[in-house]
Amino acid sequence: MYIVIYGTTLPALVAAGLLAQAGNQVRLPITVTELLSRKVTLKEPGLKDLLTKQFETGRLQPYDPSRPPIKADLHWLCLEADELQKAEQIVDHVANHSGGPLLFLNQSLFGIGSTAKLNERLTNQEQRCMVFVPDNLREGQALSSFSNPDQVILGSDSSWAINRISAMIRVLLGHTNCTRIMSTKEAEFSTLAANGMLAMRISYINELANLADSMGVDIEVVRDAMAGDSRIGQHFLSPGCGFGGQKFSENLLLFSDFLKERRRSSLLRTVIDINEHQKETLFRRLWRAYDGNLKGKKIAIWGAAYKPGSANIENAPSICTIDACLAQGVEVRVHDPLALDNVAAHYHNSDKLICCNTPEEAAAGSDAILLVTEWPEYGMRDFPAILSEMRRPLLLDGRNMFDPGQMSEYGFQYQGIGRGQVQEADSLS
Amino acid sequence: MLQTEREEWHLLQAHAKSMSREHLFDLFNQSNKRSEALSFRNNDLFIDFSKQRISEETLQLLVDLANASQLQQKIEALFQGESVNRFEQRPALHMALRSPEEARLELNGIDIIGQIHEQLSRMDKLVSQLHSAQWRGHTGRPIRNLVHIGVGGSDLGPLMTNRALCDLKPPTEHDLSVHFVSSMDGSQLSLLLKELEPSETLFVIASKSFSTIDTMANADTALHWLRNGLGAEDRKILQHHFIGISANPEKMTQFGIAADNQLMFWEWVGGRYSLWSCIGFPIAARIGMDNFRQLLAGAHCMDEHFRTTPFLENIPVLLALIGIWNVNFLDIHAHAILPYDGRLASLPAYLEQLEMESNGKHTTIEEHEVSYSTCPIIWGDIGPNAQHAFYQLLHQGTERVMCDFIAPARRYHCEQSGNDELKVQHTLALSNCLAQSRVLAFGDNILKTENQVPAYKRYHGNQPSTTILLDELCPFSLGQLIALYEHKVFVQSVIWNINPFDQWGVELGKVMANETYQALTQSTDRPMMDQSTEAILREIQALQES
Repeated sequence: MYIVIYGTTLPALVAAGLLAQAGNQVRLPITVTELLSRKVTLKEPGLKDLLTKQFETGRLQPYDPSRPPIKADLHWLCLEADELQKAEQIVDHVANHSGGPLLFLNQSLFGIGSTAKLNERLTNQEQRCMVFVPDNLREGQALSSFSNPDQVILGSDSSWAINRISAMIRVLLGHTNCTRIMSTKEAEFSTLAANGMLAMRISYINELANLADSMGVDIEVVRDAMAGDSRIGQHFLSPGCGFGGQKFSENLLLFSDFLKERRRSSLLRTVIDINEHQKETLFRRLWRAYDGNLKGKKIAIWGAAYKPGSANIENAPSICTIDACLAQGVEVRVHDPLALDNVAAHYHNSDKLICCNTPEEAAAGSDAILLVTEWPEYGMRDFPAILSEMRRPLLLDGRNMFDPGQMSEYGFQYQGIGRGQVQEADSLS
Repeated sequence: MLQTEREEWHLLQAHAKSMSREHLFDLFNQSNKRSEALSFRNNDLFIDFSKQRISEETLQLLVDLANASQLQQKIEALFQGESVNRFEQRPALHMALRSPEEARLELNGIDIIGQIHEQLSRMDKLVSQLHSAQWRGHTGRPIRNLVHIGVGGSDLGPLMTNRALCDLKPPTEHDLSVHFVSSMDGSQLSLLLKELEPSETLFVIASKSFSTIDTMANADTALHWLRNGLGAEDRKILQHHFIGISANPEKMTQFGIAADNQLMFWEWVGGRYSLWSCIGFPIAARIGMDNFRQLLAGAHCMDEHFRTTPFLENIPVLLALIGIWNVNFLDIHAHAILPYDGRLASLPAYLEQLEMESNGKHTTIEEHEVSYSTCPIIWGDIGPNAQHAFYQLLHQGTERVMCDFIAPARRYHCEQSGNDELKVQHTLALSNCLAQSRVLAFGDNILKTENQVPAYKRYHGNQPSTTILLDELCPFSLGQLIALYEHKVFVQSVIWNINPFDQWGVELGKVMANETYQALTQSTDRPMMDQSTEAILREIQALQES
């Protein structure tokens, strides 16, 4: 198949690489040189090698988007959520230059009903249409989540397109029992709905954690009891210092606005507000520990990526925490296994932000460690050695990675999220 | 020389005799160039004096009086920082507050423009902290509510400005609400405190002396509320929940305001001229520092016009002299301020203070009793609402009243589509504004009807008015408008030969209130009042004890 990819987002690059690997002729609007100069997306494990290799085989080739469109069996849209206008231009550009059948696969989520609207621009003929297939990518495991999805949602209002795309999925993924076919609107709705559900679970457990703190209750015990109920399960039920990530946050905001507009519902807005508040919980604990006088303090941030396995810092709790600390005149020493370049770029103007190569280097001489991202490697360190280099033994664990008892034994003043040791730490007055 | 003994004064009196026989309807019929000759523009502000009972000769005679009163020299003295506030021996340099950074003005060897811009940049820093949600309360939560506590000049200017510019959004994605509290009895504060979260509330205490009883009483209540709400020691509360704005740093420190949270202005800024100083903090918090600087720029634009334009084309001078003409020569002693824009609802109250506290005086600079009228009674309301209230008196009452109609020409024009209904409403307001000034000026002459109407339906007209049209209501044009009235007040004070920059008339009441407070709270060994007050005291005490 000839496939043209529109966009250079992570789903675009993953699709390009894996579709080419499967033997398709794939065109991407970026050259290999341009690609290699982009550090962010290529930190995704395995992606750089995959793309380089596919460029070498010649199955993956760059194209110039300003030129007339390439004739292809499939046009694959992977744009950012705010690029609807660009999507319209692309669709018009391709439609105006091509007669005959035209098939678009859209992975960009602009809102409920937007694929149907784009479809209208293709004049709504039977063999000219657009399907919506949400990407199932999980950052840090993008390649495997593309190849082995829990399910594939296929949103289309055309049987011709459904047949075509189903056949392609069969070839690509080798199994079809996980494909769910529905209308484009239902597919978009499902994607946003799942996203909102996950966010609600996190904000709910975080609210419970804050309550637990004020009641001398350990949320981890409560969480385990809840997760043991098969109706609830354990996923997305870890208390912490908030969720982030560009796509997750954007989709949530989009759906929240949509609910507000259509239903006057503030449910998801509340979920977002709780999360925004939660993102600063470590900062507020630090503030209280130092009685509101943070000027001149040094703190270590362990983990800046919005989740382990990713280099992405968009909307990450680390950013709110660092911003708040810098605003108080704190020297911030950041470590992250993958995201450090992004942190450095984000704070290139600040001389109070220091990027450190190891968590120990970040902690040395500091007045507190704030663990923001639960990179597994933070779990096994020589804590007595780290402690001996710190100015004050304050450890604020934003992901409940550590055992409070053990950390206290080492000599840390340890606070987790909702571990029941902090009376009123994060409550309203 | 007494003003009334000047030849120019006598010439105006003689001229008034003939002008008072003229009806505005006839004045317009005499010339089709009248409005062209009697209207003026300065940047975003257009002003029409043609519905005043004047001729071009009137203006010339008034300017002659201004010249005889050495107005130009006195304007220069004002701008140069001379001690124009005679009885308190200090200058009045509110114009310096809006001078650009490159301007130079020294006062007793100190570069005050530098001082002003230093305070502005400190204010900018605090405002940025609020807008970036990095001003933290005691618990580490960002501040979301700002409560400005002040009274008089420390309240009316910022309050009026924030209401006027309410369409502007603060440059922040975070919620930040700005509230005003002034009343001594705590009624505004007690209502507000029920709604606010202590950990997210910052109080701004604004008082030039930092000892105004109204303000300090509210500040004490606020502090008490935070103590209860936060359970923290006072030092911490004051560090994270209070900003002070004053000309008296010692008093701010004494109250416990942290040094970093003190914003300064100076003795040479009068309270009612202070919104341009750090007293404008709640304005900048509400509309952003860039817009606040636009407000200053608009006022500065009017300052330059006032200082450099010949009197016959000088808008503040003409506005003032026509006021003098109405008060002292046409015997009109009431002045209505009538904005045709709901956002200017607080403008009448603001101008009441500006004009009446400045020029409500009976003593000349030489400490003689004046033998002529000074500031008229000023009041007003949003025009369309007042049409259903006191306009009856304007149209058919026995009192002569001069009116200022104020309206923006454009509104809702740059907003997204879907505001067509609101545009219609604005057009409706504008048509009422113009209709009312016409009826006031011409009476039922405009009806051109031959039919005899009963006396109670007659409109005599001939009520003079000025119309001020802003291109639109924005920080710059509002700055122009306020500065216009400030300079008007100054010019009138020169003609009346009085000091507009003090307010001794409000002092005795404060002293007496202290004495009466004792009478209300002490049963023995208390000062005795007059028999009327004693009788009321007995009633109060009986009711409070029952």
